[in-house]
Amino acid sequence: MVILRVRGVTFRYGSVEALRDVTLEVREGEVVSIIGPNGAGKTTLLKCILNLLKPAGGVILIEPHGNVAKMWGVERAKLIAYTPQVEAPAAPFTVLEFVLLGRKPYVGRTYSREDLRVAEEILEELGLRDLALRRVSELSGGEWRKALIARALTQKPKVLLLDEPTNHLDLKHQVSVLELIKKLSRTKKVATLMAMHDVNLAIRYSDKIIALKKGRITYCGHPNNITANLIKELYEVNAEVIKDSNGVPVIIPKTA
Amino acid sequence: MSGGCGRREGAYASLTKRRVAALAGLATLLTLLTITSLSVGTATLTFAGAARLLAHLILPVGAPPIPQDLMRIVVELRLPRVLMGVVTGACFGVAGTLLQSALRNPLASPYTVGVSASAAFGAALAIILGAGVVGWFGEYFIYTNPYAVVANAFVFSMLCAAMVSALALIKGVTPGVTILAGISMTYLFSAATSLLQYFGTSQQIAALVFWMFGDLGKAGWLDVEVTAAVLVTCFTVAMLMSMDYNALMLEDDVAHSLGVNVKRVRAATLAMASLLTATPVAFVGVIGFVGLLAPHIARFLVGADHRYLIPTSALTGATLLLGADTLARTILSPLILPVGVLTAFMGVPLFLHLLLKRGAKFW
Ligand SMILES: Nc1ncnc2c1ncn2[C@@H]1O[C@H](COP(=O)(O)OP(=O)(O)OP(=O)(O)O)[C@@H](O)[C@H]1O
Ligand SMILES: [Mg+2]
Repeated sequence: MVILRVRGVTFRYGSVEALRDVTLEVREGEVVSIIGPNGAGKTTLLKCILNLLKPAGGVILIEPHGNVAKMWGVERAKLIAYTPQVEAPAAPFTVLEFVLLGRKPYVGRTYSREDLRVAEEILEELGLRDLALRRVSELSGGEWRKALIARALTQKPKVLLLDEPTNHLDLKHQVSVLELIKKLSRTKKVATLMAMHDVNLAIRYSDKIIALKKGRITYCGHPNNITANLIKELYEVNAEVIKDSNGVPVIIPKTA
Repeated sequence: MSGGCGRREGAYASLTKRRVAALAGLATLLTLLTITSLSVGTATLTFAGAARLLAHLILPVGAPPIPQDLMRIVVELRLPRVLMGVVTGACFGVAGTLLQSALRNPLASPYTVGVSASAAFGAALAIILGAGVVGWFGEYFIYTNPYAVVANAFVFSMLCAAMVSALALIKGVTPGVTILAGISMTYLFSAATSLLQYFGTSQQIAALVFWMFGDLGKAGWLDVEVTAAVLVTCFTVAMLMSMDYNALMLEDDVAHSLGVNVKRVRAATLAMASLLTATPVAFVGVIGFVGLLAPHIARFLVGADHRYLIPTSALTGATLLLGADTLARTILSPLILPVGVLTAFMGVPLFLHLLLKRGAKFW
């Protein structure tokens, strides 16, 4: 079932065109990665979906709730959660409090027992339980990234927008965070759309790859169909594509 | 604050318990300080006597616990000063927290939006030119009606604050821009005040300098009541919005994704913090540092959750200012020092200690 529908979205920063006629869909439980060079418009696209930026044309729909641009802030916040490309740990929140912030769209003046239950359950799932009372400023990069994802999940969204969730993570944490994202998208029936720089990781953990260049979609399809040509066209880098033992393509960049 | 694990159900409860304990401790400290402050002064009153008097004033049953004439001195002179210290300190504490959170900047203080300089300009206008928002007074009126100066100081600081707050509504205006706008307003109004001083007589300049020195001794009962009303109103609104402030501690984009209308909350908060600052400043003059320091101490005690942070800042601010004023009245008695000097002398070492202890982390 399609949850997120982006139709013909165009966006300009002043006269700079950042997105041109972007159309895509993300289904329930699916993980879709947007790849593309720096400045391709990945972050801009996520911000448009979040209604942080207002597209000049096109619509963004969350099925069956309707047009994102017409929603109240709180209504939208119950459907879409977001973690930015960079977010510094602000304020002396403990991890538990930080994750509880994700309950914002649901709470009145105080957290209910349900809010606490949701937050603690997610901390448990992400293996952050023992850090619940640690200050967010005292987390490692990987733990912090997980805390960000935990906050987003505590929002109980239908759509999860992650801007480079593996930014600054070592290999182990890249793998564990992406595995978590994939598992949680499935179990929680969330439509996940993420911007990714690491093409190999994107291929490995996504159900679908969308390639963006200069604000236009140049490829949209199964990760297994990625070719050296596409990489060349996208990143202007010569690459060799080999298949691993499971038939998953592995991109090896070559010097010019 | 290093990572405890705690039992699963217990984690949040233990956090809450610690905060309630901090609040209760501060409230007790402030009560003791209030009684102490009432008892010190040239007309002698014991701590127990002051405590009984306070109890009698709150719940007037039976005969007054102290002689009539002593009671008059305390109630008419000492009590308004002490209470003004409490409400002003609380105003500054809450305003400081609101500003630091709304601008997401630990260096912001109630004066960041230009409130003090514009208040001084308003006062200077009234004192030196005899001109003000309630008409042209002439010198005689100024000296007989101190509220001309108060009204002027208040209106000008709110005008300045309104401009800076409204700026936050404009698209693309970041907290940094707001802070810079506030700083430039400070320069602008300081320059204008200097210009006025240039044309003033030496008595007028002395009167202005005296006004600018924060002094709680100026406060009468009306001042206390007005300030307390502003405090209670703004405090209540701030408490109702505390969940929004919590979300605002995250980046703007993230706060937006949590459903907060960032610009509107920010502008409203700046306006509220300005009101909380401008009101006491108009009555008692500029008292620095409490509004910068109190939020840091409060955050150190209870963390960043505004449901606890706001009341803690109020109590911390009140304790700091009343403590400083009590010292100002006693260390060189019978000479009374300007409280603003004491807040800086006491506050700076405390602030530096706090910052060093925390390392490079401001928050
Ligand atoms: N606030 C802005 N004002 C003007 N132009 C902008 C703004 N933000 C981004 N752009 C431009 O829009 C284009 C798309 O930027 P965007 O941040 O979406 O790229 P991206 O794909 O996320 O890049 P990266 O991989 O480097 O994060 C770029 O050309 C960028 O220079
Ligand atoms: Mg980006």
